[in-house]
Parts: sequence; structure tokens; C-alpha cells
Amino acid sequence: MAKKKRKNLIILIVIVLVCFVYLRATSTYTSYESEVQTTTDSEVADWKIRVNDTLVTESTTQTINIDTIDWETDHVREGTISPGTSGVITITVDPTTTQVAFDYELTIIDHTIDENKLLTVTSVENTLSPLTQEGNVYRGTMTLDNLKAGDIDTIQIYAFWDDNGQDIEVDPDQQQSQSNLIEIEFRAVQRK
Amino acid sequence: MAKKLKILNKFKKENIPYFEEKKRFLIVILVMFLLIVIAIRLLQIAYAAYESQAKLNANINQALYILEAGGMDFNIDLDKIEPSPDPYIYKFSISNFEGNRHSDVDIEYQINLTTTTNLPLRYELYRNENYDEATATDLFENATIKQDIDGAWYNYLEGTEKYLFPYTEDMTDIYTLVIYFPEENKATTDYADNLENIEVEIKSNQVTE
Repeated sequence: MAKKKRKNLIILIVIVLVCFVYLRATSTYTSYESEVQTTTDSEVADWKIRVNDTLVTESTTQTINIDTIDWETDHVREGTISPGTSGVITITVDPTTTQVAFDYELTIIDHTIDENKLLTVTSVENTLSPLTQEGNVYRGTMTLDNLKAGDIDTIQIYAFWDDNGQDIEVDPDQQQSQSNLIEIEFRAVQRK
Repeated sequence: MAKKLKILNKFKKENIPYFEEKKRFLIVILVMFLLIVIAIRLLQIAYAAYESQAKLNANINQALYILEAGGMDFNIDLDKIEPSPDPYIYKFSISNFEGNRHSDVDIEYQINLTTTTNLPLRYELYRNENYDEATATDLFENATIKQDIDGAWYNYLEGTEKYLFPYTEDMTDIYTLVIYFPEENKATTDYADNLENIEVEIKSNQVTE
């Protein structure tokens, strides 16, 4: 009988503990939700990152045109590139009012990755903590300290049109001003 | 009645371990289910995070290389060419634009002429001037006789200079090709029905230095 009572007691304690843990978890979620309902602006962490002055807030992929390109202009019209010339593409990552630390990465597809791309990247530099490179992916972090200091990371991608010292024959009738130069993808993920 | 109760009690006593075991099993299942539910909820809360993506386009164009030759489809009428005191005149032009398309690079070019040696013709080339002006300058030096891999002989006239087209302005050069077939060849029929081939080569490249 005593044994039976002990068993019942153990069972009861286990059930109570389980209920306590579950309720605690759900009550935590509930209270957060309650706070969201009452003071949304102050409690939901802001997520507003600008890349080259364009706000990147959606979870879907956005398209941004980079105008901050400084290219050789000797004997070449400004805003155009020709074989054997080089320049730098500048990308700025501005966290603006973002309140959470985040990791960001640039995936660069140049001539070494895709032969159809005209440009070859020679180096990538930035103003904050040096980016880590893994193949053609360059990664950086915006810490809470960076956010508090209002830091902006300026990333410079040095590239050139490698003609291998050979003349490139041009068919005037086949030329297109819009070419497949380079492909750059940006991604930012909140740090946990 | 009492006997029935005794049987029931006996039955109940005999089946107590079975029911207890069943109860324990159900409790364990219930607890495991609740733990799984909690774990999933906690994971969902931990997994959720902000994420954004963007595709960046380099807003720069490939420079256009435009060198347009106009009037190059002139034909020398073989039925009409004959020794004559007057030269045969052909004009053509070279430009660094075509319609509303303009070259985006500085271009330098040179003109060379290659002909067969079947007819005793003499060639002169003039740029942006009349060939019969006293100050006109023939752009060709003396012809060089060369033999190709097939053993055919031909004249090679190389232009003396390279000319520059800067991308900053639209430019056109007018050329006059003058071909002489000396009149003294009228007395012979050696060249009758002979064919002559004339090739004008415009050799150009982007200026890089």
C-alpha cells in the first residue's frame, strides 16, 4: 500500500513538473505577445539595413543598382569599361536603426566562377573588421557595439577586365552596351 | 451475491498489476508527448530570426567600339577599266560613329592595300583632300611585292601613318583611292581579260596609352 502511494505520488509530481514547464514556456510567449500588443514600437527589435542607401527589409530578394563605381577613364568614356581596364565597386552596409547584431555576406560571381562574366575580382577590402573569405563568399559581422557607434561598413571590390594581353576582336554589329559583367548577392541574418 | 463479489474482487486483484502497468505506460507516453511539444515550441521561438537578401547590379556598361566604313562597296567595273590617261577615282569614308551609336573608346587606325599583280596598275590614297591638289599627299609608300603561302604574288601598300579618333567627338575621314592604268598599255593585249583583285584593309585598335 505504501509502495502504491509512493508510486502515485511520483506520478503526480512528474505531471505537475511537466505542466509547470509547459505553462512557463507558454506563459513567457504569452507575456511577450502581450507586450507586443500594448507597446509594439518599443519592444520589437528594429531591422532596417541599407545597402547603398537602399532599404533592405523584405525577406524576398531585392535588386539594387550600384552607381558607386570608379573605373579607369583614360581613353575610355566615363561610365563604361573596356578590355584591360580596372576599377573599384563600392558597397556600403548601413545598419541605420537596426537593434540586433547581424551577420552579412557578399557572394561574388566573377569571371573565375562564371566564364560569361567579364570582370575578375582581384581583392575585397572593407572599413570595419576584416571580412572573412570562403571561396567567393565574403562575410562580416555588425556587432551591437557597431550599432551603438553608428558604424557603416564600406566594402570596396577591386576588379578588372582581363584580356590576357590579347586583342579582343569586336563585331560592330554584335556589340551590346549592357554586358554580363559581374554578379553580387547580399544577405544579412540576425545573430542569435 | 457475496460469491459474485468475491469473484469480482478476486478478478480485480489478479488484474491490478496489469492495469498499473498500463497506467504507467500511458503516463510515460503522455509525458514524452508533452516534452516533444514543448521542445518544438522552444525551438520555434529560438529559430525565428530576421533575414534579408538583395541582388546588386553593377550600373556600368561595356564600352562600344565603333569604326564605321562607308562607301566600301565600290566596284571596279572590269569591262570598263582600260589604259587611260585619266585615273579611276573611288571614294570611301571611315567614322567613329554610326547613326546614334558612338564609340566609347579612343581608336587609332591605319589603311593598307593589297592587290594582285595581274595588271600594271598604280595606286594612290589621299585623306581629306583632293588628289589633284598640288599639296596633296599620297599615303602609300612604294609597294612591297610579297608572295603568299600559295605562291601567288601580290602588292602590299602600307599606310604611312596611324590616325586617331577620340571618343569625345564624332569624326569622319574621307578617302580618295586613285588607280592609274597607264595609257601606254593600250598597245598590247597582254592584259586583256585579266582579273585584278584589290583589298582595302582598315586596321584599328583601342588606344590604351
